[in-house]
Amino acid sequence: MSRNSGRVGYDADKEIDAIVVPEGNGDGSGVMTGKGLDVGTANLLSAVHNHSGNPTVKRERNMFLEIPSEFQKNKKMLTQLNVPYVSYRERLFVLGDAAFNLANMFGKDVRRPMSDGFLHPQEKEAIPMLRFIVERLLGQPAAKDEPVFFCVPAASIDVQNDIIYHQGVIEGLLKKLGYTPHAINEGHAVVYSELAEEDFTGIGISCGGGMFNVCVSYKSIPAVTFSVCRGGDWIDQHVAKVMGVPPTRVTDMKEAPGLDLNQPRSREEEAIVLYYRNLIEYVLKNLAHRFAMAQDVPRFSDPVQIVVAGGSSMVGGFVDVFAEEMSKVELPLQVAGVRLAEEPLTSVVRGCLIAASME
Amino acid sequence: MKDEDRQRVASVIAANSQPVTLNDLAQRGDRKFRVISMNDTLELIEAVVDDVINKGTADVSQEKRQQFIDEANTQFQQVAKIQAKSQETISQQQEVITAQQAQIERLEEEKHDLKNKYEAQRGEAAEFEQANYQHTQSLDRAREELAQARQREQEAAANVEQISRRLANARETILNYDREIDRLVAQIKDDATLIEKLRVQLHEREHEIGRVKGLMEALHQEVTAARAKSAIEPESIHELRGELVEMKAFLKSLEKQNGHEAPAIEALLQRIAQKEADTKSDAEDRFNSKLSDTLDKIGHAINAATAKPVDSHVDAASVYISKLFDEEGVMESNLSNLDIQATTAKQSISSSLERLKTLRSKASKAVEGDGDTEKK
Ligand SMILES: Nc1ncnc2c1ncn2[C@@H]1O[C@H](COP(=O)(O)OP(=O)(O)OP(=O)(O)O)[C@@H](O)[C@H]1O
Ligand SMILES: [Mg+2]
Repeated sequence: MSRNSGRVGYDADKEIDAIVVPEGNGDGSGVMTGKGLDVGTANLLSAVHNHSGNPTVKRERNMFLEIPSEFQKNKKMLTQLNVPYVSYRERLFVLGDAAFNLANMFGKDVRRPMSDGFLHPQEKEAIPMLRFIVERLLGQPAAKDEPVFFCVPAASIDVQNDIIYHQGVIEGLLKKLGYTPHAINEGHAVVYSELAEEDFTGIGISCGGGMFNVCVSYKSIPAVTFSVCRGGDWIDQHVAKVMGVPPTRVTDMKEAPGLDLNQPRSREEEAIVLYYRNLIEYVLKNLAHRFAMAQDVPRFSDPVQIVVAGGSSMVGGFVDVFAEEMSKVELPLQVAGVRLAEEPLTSVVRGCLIAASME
Repeated sequence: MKDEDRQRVASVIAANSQPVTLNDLAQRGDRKFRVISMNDTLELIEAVVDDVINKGTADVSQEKRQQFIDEANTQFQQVAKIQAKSQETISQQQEVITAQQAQIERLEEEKHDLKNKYEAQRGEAAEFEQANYQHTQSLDRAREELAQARQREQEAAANVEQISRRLANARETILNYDREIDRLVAQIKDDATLIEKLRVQLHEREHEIGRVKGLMEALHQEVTAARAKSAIEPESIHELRGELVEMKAFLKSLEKQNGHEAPAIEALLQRIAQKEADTKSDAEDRFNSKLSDTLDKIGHAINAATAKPVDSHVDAASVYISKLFDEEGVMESNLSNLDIQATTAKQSISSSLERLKTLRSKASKAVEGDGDTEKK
């Protein structure tokens, strides 16, 4: 445990519980520096410390929409409507949730800087747009070269992907914004935020929009990490195709409260459930396959706990279906149980912040 | 003049003239006419004759009379000749007119033919125009498609260029990666031997721990046996027992003073229990710290083996990103004017952080020491 000494007018023992001893950021606020950033296919999140132990989290959808340049004249109006825009060489883009809502309203398709967990090499505007959203979430560094821990997916076992390009670009972006970037594996971040009770031993799974990321950890050390290139987006695309609606409409239905994998209430929900089950089955089969192949999977003496997090795990009945499908595959380890993270959407970013605070 | 003469004159006129319609005259080109009736003509002649007759005396001789009549006849013949001449002219002109009429008719026919031809050609022209219009349109379309194709070609070329640039970067990256892999392979080889060594050590330690655990178990049993005042008294318990007997004797003496034997024995038993616990926790501590050390080493090895050497690749990306930030000027946004909604996470990270730190500090006592010196 460490703490900067010599701070004036600050009684750490009074304000902060005895467990966490924060490192000051030098501005006298007594709030620890270091930030967490979840770079996800569907969502971008940032987390920073505040005076409580519960971090402050900001979220924005990782999307943008080009709108007709006639709107150039109405930029003031966009600002009044709290719609974030970027105008770039006579072209006008709306970012984040606003883009999602506008696209949904007008039945258009949004554009996405990332797909299947990685930056889209074909999407020309990907990096500029990502940069603006990241800047919006992180703001200015609180101190010079403040560390930012951002998550990167593990290599996929079903698709080849370019981790180097992806990670390099994000690091470059963060450096340009004045931060010191550090990468952390996405599943490992889930282990950090969810498996403390188990002494960081077990399996953390981030069920995202573009992929499912798995990390097998022993005493906080990642022994095996890998990913599968399917996630919520895969469901959206397939349901959209069979129902003949834009994918964003499906996203909307899927995220609406009340959807339960065990009790679909309409034809649309039935389609979603069908693909959800298929996805879970696919992920678990791949997991079993990976484990069967691997010599690096540690042998645990006790049954291990699995924690699922990420947006795609939030649908009603997810854990039940997951456990049900898991009983159908053979795993070379004993599972104590499957648990849903308390706040699945922020799990990864909280893990990133924990990592940043260990610096 | 006698009626007989008049009639003769009239028949001469009729024989030497020809009826002509006004229309014919007009067609001949004559526009103005003097009209004189047959009666007037006869009267004129009669007057001339009478005049000639009356010129002489009433007693004109038969010879003279004949002379007058001959003169008159001659005159009349001249007039008639003139008339016949004009008649010839008229019929000549009539022929001309007929010829011209035929000409006109021919021309009329030709005109009609031409008109027909013209109509036919106009129809053809309209068709041609329609075809031409369609042709122009398809030409325009083709032109547009060509432009699009060109555009696509350009885009493709740009793409290819971009891809080849990325390929070049990737090649560089791969080269670096290869170098790094070579280094890592060497390192992994070292690490593998290290891990193997550690595994052997761990195994030995597990043995040792097992042995210590066995010992502790035995000790525990002995103590329990001692507590139960069992008949079996191993060496060590015998010693303890000796101690206990001594203590008891001491306590007896105390008892004599104040009669409180039980609490003292209790205290003594506690001391024995404490000793046992100490031995156990000591062994556990040693085990844990060894385990942590080992794990730490294994962890380092694993980290080193699975770490992605990305630093060497950032260069290409950072060049690109620098370019991106250079475009700052051409980008404009309202992001700095808008607030983004911030929420407080429901779940605290404090306990996770604390546990993680404990775990890490256990693994490295040196770090813990540093932490202590930093404390206020
Ligand atoms: N309540 C909900 N029910 C079902 N699905 C949800 C819910 N909320 C979000 N999702 C889905 O979760 C996905 C996004 O999750 P998350 O933010 O964890 O992914 P990500 O980190 O952006 O993607 P990745 O990690 O794959 O790159 C989307 O497909 C979204 O539609
Ligand atoms: Mg994610």
